[in-house]
Amino acid sequence: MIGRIYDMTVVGSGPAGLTAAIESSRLGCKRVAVIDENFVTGGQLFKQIHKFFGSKDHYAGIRGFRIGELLLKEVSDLGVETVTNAAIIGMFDAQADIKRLVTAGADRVGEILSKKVLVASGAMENTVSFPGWTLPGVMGVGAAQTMMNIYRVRPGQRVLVLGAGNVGLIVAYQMLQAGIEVVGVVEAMSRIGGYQVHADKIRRMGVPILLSHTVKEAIGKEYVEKVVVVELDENQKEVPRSEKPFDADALCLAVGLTPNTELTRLAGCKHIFNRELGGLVPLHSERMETTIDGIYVAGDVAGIEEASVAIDEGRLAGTSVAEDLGMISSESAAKTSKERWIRLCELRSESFGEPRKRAKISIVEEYWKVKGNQMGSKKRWFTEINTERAPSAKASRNAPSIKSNDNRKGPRAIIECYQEIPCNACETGCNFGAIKVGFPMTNLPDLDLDRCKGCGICVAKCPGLAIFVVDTSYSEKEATVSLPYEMLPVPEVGQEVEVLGKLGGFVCKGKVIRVVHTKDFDETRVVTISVPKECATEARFIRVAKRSGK
Amino acid sequence: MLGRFGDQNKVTIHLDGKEIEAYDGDSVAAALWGSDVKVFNHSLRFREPRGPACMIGLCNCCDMIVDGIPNVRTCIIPVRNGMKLSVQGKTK
Repeated sequence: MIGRIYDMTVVGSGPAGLTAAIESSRLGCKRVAVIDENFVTGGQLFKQIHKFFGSKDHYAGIRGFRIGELLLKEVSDLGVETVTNAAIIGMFDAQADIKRLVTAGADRVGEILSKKVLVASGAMENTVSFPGWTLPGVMGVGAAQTMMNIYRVRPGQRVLVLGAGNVGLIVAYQMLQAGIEVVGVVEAMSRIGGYQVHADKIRRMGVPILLSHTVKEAIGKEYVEKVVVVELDENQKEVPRSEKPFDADALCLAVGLTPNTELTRLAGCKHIFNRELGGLVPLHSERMETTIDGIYVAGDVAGIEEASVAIDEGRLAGTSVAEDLGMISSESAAKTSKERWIRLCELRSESFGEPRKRAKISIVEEYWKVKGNQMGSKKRWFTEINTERAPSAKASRNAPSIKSNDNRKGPRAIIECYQEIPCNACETGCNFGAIKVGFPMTNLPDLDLDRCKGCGICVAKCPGLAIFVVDTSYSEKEATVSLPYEMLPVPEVGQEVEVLGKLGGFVCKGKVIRVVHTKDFDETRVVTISVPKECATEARFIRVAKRSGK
Repeated sequence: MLGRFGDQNKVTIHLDGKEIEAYDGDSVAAALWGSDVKVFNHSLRFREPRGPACMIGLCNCCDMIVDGIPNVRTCIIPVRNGMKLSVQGKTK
């Protein structure tokens, strides 16, 4: 490592860092290194065992850890150097053409010289304090995820989750998959912060979501034994005598993330506080360059968003690095960057994304103010996007595809996706072109009943597990429901199962008539059950009894 | 979802003289938590129990004495056969 001058050094090997390294070396940068302080590369991708949202370009419908495997393979095919076990503890000559990074490994300190530095250092979990918050067993939800999905250790037998954002909801579901009893998800706001489809996944398994509640205290001698939850009124004040005790041996906090800006602050980049983006974030241009030339940011460090955004921001930064090193012309960089920004705007549209889109644009505008408006040609394409082509909140909205007057015979899909979330995995997954999402991908899916064959591929493809296939003409008295199933044990054909409703209540008994699983479904089994006709609209989950013996 | 588990080699680590079985590739903190060890150290001032909280080497709540060296973040070091650990800090 010593004596070489790298074209580009990437700090952090998560989705943003890896895609940036891939993009820049694909465009001709020769000496590219990815540095990570962990003993494995991939960042947090390897604990993400759920299927991702987004479009095909964002690896929609693929599980996070498989995306990690794909990216790492691409990185090694391109000859990008990866260095693990090395934390960056210093940056010198940040303003110079060649920057010096100081790395600290397990037993030695090293130096890396690099023309360009991309900081993709990600984010850190937030915590909240209450009596007992330091007890063993109170941990970040990401910590629980690491224990379960990397090391296969259960964080607890009975777990309470605080925070009903996407992270809290997704990890609560993963806990259920790991055989943990989730006693509840508690949320201080009066509404669920995350996607409804994620909430539905755990509600149909009987997990209560307590809105307008928070944790008052965690009780235990050596570790958590009991958690007291209290109701909040509309002013976020505790309601007297509304305490509810829960027996739990772990309490997982999903209360947001903060960007890891140590390195960009150390380098002297300008920062700004932005609530929407998780706190202090480095100012950056639409090309992801910070206020210091040659230092770039991408992913959560530039504002807390999602992995799909990090992937695109990484590519954007990689293109800018290649441009600044003279590997590609400004025109071709502007062309691809503009397309990426339009796609990012697509990811950041509608109620979940719009505030983040506005925040990001304000960051870029602030950057240009600091830079003294040397906009030139680079700024021009950015302005064009925001005035003309970015999908706005007024973009076409399709009605959800439930038509009560549908008397067609045979199986058909039912799509229970009612929020404008950026995902079109169902559209690309359907072999018959029966589902339409279109542009922007926050549109609600529209089902063309004439084309739907009820094959059930979309049931397995939907990362929100929000599609079901119902056949009301199965027999005289019975209907069939095909539902996605990602739990163990896998039901057997002919087995009798308990059928649960949308909120996890018992609906009826059902019989398994088919279990479909292909390599493409990647462990999401499509289980078809027969139920009494009147239960078909309610049946959404099955409880499979554990087989006696083993 | 994650495929088979349990094919890894087993290693033995020692916590204050007690033998604990772990799998190769585990982090020390995960191995201990999986064996129902919950208290990793006691806080300096109030001697309160502490255990892992972030699992990515940021919070220092899982610090232990590892092979005689104190303040080692056990969540980001892998287990090694024969490793000697002890709970750090006195109790009340």
